[in-house]
Amino acid sequence: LKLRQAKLPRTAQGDIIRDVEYIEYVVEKRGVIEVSRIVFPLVVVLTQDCDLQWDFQCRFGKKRPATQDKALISVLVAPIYNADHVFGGEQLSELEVNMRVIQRPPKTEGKQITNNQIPRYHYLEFDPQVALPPSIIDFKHYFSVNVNHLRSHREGFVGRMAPLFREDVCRRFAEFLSRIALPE
Amino acid sequence: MDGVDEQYLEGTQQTESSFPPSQEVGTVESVSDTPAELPAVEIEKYRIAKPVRKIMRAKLF
Repeated sequence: LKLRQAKLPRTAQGDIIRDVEYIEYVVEKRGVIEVSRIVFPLVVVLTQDCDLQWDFQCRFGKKRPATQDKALISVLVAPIYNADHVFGGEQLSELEVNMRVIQRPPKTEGKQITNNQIPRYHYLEFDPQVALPPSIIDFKHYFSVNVNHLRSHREGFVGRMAPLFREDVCRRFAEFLSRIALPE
Repeated sequence: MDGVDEQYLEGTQQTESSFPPSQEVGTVESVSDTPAELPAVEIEKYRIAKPVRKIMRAKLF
C-alpha cells in the first residue's frame, strides 16, 4: 500500500493521521476540572468523502450555500495498531487493557487476519518506502473526532490511501457495522 | 478557483451521496504521487507506539 502526499485543505476519507486524541471524559469537581484523553498514534478516516467535501464546502467554500445543512459534527476514525502488537495482544497495554493473543501467521488465525477474512480487522502492509510497519485497523475501536479539531490538526497528516484501497477499507467497515448476530 | 455552482447546490440533482464538483472546491496545497516518507526518528517512534492515556487537571478560577 502506497500513500499519497497530496495534501488537501480538508480532511479526506482514507487520510492517515498521527497523534489523534479521543476525549474520554471531562468532569468538574469543586473548582477542579479533569480531562482524560487517549492519544492514538495513528488513525484512518472512515467518514464518507462526499460528506467531508460538502462539510468543507459548507464552511469554507467561496460560494457557500445559504444553509449549513451539510455540515458535519464529527469525523469517524479507527485506530491503526502495529500488527506485531495486535498478534501479541499488547496494543492497549499502555491503557492497562489486556487483549487476546492471536496466533501469528502462518497459523490459521493469523493468516485469516492478514488475508482480511475477519470482519473486525483490516490488515495493511505498506510500500517499503512508507515508514510504517505492517499494521492492523481495528474497526471495533472506532471513535469520532470533532470535524474542526481534526482539520486544525493537519500537521498530523501522514498520507492518504489510494482510492481503491480506501474504498476497500470503508466497504469492510460498513460490513463490520452491519453484522447481524443471530440466536444460536 | 470558484466555489461550487449555486445552481448545482439548489438543483434537484443534489443528494447526500453525490459529490460536489471536486475541482471547484478549495485548493490543493501540493500535488504529488510520491509515497509518504517519514524521517528515521519517526520510523522508530511509530514502530513502537501504542495509545496512551493523558489526564489533565486544572483549577478553575
